[in-house]
Amino acid sequence: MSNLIELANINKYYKLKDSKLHVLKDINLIIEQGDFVMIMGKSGSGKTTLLNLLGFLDHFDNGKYEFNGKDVTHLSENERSEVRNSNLGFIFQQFHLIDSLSIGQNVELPLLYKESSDITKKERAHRVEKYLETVGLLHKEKQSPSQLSGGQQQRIAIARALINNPYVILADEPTGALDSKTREEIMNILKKLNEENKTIIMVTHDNDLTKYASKVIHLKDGMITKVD
Amino acid sequence: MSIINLIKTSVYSLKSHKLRVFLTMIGIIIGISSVISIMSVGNGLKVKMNESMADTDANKINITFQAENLEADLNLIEPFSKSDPYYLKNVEGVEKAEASQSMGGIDFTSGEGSYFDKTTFIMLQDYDDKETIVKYGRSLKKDENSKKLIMLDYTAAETLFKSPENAIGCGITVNGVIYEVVGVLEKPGAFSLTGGTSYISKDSSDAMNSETAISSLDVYIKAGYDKEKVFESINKKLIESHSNIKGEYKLQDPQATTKIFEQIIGYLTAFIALISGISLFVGGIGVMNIMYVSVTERKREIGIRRAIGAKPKSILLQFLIEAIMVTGLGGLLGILFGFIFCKIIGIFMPFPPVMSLSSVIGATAISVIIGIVFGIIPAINASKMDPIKAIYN
Repeated sequence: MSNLIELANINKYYKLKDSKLHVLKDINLIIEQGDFVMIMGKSGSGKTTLLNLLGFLDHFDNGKYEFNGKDVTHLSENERSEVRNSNLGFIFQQFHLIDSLSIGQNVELPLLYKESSDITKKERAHRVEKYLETVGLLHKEKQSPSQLSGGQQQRIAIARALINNPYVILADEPTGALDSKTREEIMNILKKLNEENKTIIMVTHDNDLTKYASKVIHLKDGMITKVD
Repeated sequence: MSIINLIKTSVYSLKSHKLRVFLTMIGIIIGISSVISIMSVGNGLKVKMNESMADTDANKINITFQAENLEADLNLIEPFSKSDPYYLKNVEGVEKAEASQSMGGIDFTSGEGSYFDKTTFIMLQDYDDKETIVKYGRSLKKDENSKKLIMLDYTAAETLFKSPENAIGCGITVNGVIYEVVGVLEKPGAFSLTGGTSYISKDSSDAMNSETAISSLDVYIKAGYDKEKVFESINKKLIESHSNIKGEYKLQDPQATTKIFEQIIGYLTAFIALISGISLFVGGIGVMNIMYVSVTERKREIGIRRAIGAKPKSILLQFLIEAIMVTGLGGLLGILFGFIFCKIIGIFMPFPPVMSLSSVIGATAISVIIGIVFGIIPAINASKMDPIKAIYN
């Protein structure tokens, strides 16, 4: 297995009024293609910050980040957008679908932001169908997000994360707002994706979920305390 | 993201706030429709004026003399001699030249009329069976051409005789010649251009004109010649033959008057349109305000779009296109309302407003520009938003 993500001595500070908050301290981390990684820790431990950093959403102050063998420490905002678009898929705790768009349009959205967008309308429709089928909600394509239950919305968000066929799925407490039954459903979808060799990085504070993980990273006060 | 998809995206988000979008548009609609109607009324006025001026001879120019000493009596200076029209005929490009007593295209002579101790200023015109309404007495007859008779205008008759009907049969002195009053005309309407004119026979007026000095010349230019150039050669000729007087000959093109009027109407229209354009400015600020609200409200959406790979430029264009669509659609509705206003105004005005294609294109362009100008800052704000802060608020 090849190293997909390699973090070396990452430090991050938040600037406060007259002091600096050291949120991530000397993070060294290797994630391999096909890993199911869980980042655990109490709130304020820096786990979401670490996930956003891995997902090119947040910046760090020093250290080195290699993604897929390339140094990505100093990418421009446009390059970061392109990496996010073609290599990463995001799933959030609050689903974060866009209400003014239909389910189908929500899923299609990452395809529209693809730079070399020679994907035809027909091809886009085909892919939307394919991934809606993967999450088992094909017949909901024309509905609006507000008409769906939380679990269904999260499945739509997963379909959206998958549509560009990314290397990595980044999930920030994807089951945090769901009941235990739908939680199982979502986790099973993620597990299935992992079996199809998708790398999954997930933030959670639910100990029960660690059974799905191949690697668990424990964070405390911005430091990695344990890797299982 | 391709432009078509950006436009679609904007349509979706505008659709989800129909009422708000419409309220924002009202400012633009009012602004554009009022500018359009004012410009159209101005255009209509110009067209109407051109129509009424069209009957003045396009090839006729009028040459006057301006003495160096502005108070000099032209009758004494004699800037034009009776032989001038004859000589000027030989100038290249001149069809014919004749003495004129006209001002601004209408022929009239003026004189001082007196009856015993009372005097008044009288405007005189040839009587050639013009439609005149005689209040007292009668009109001039055709066989009376050689007689010194006058149809007096109402105001002059009132001044000279107190009660106008007393004037019939009396003799008044005009420029030293006695005329018998045969008729008194109806009081002219408030806006009559020829109001206050008295009429005498053609022979009498010719006789009167031949006694007074020529104050200006009417020159008819042959087709294909430049008025200015012909005037230059005429000017040379006139200065040669009147070398002893001080002053300059001036060209008066009757169409120049029309042009000046047109210009004035143009300036006035532009000025009023500018004032009503202030409402466009206010409308633009409304658009800016609503765009700020929209950006703040949709922070989360911006964050999501950035997370799934939207570049800052895509976000900027999305909000800019939204603003342009609000103002552009407002502009189109404004043009429609302006058109309806013009039709309504046309019912109450003596001339119909003319909506020109250029004002329609201009209005569309202006509304799009307003969208860009007032939408760009909120759009830049949206594009510069940090995705993390946008998603997690």
